[in-house]
Amino acid sequence: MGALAVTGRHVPGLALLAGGALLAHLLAGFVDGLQPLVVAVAVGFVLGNLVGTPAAAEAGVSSHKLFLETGIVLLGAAVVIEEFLVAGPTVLALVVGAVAGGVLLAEGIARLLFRLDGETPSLLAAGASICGVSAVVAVGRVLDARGTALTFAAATILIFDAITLVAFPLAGEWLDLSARQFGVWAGVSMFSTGPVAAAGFAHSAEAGQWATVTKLARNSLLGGVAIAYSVAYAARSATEPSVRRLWSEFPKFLLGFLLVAAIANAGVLSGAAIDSIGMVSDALFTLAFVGLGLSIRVREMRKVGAAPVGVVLVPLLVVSIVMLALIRLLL
Amino acid sequence: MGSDTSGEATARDPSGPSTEGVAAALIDGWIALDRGWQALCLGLAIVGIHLLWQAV
Repeated sequence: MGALAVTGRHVPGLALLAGGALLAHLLAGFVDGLQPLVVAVAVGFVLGNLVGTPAAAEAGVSSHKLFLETGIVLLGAAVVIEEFLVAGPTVLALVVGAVAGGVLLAEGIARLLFRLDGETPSLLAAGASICGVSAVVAVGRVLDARGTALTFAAATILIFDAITLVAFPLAGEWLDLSARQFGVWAGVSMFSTGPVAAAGFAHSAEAGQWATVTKLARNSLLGGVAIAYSVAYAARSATEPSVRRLWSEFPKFLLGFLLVAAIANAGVLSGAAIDSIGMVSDALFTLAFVGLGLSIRVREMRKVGAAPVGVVLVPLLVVSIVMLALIRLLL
Repeated sequence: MGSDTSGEATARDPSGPSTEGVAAALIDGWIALDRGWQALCLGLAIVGIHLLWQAV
């Protein structure tokens, strides 16, 4: 009975995601070269802002993050490890530079230029530099941040997720970047994992893989940054830095991605199986991107003031311009 | 081995507390898992199904 109730609670939302995904595929079929994954975000966005998500569908729609992470795990099957190992050290150096530079720049601008105090500068810096809203929540937990500061920072990050989701693919096209260059650029510069993957796939499948892998490398630094913050705020923080905390903030699906990549690259899976896993991964991404679109609410974004927007905008511009120059030079 | 020795319990429900109880326990365990672990399990399960399908 309990099992049925739990499952039943998710059905309306899952049906909504599936309907949106189907519609995205149908619409993309009408326009040559249009990616269903990008249309899925647009379908969700239009639905969410015109009609809203019915209360009965909330539980199922919230599964879109699970679909995104499972899709990323399965994306491991399409990754050619050798190719990534060659570019690995350069991409890792870019990731570490972008995260460290982004955190310091956002903290400095927030505290010195915009005179923000408390945890808000740290929440904005973490969200902009590591992995969007999940970094805001993780660092907020470490710092015991107030609910309003968390909502404020998360809303700011969501604004930029929506803007960069449209702006980056357009810029990539205009700058005539290769798939690898664009994917790494989106992976080091944009904020949340969903929009990064969506922007990458809007360019091409190869760019989508590079964007996701680069973003995963960035996400894996979340535990380290959370610990650094807990040390920096040690006098006020109730929690002590530990390996346990590092592990609790570590995105576990990253291990799944590595495992699946190792299985696929060991040659255990046939070509047909890899193609089929790729199709399942695409289907999960489409469901996830409808949910991502549904979560972008224009009305919520209007509530955010100019200061947090400035705190996030300046590092975003600086990091993406510096990274673009380095990527063009090194990759 | 681990079977129920109480005749009363067996008489009440011969097919066992089984299916329903196991399903509920599985769902409870699944809900308690961190989302990252859930994604890892689902992903590996899908790859496992493909490996099995390939072997058959």
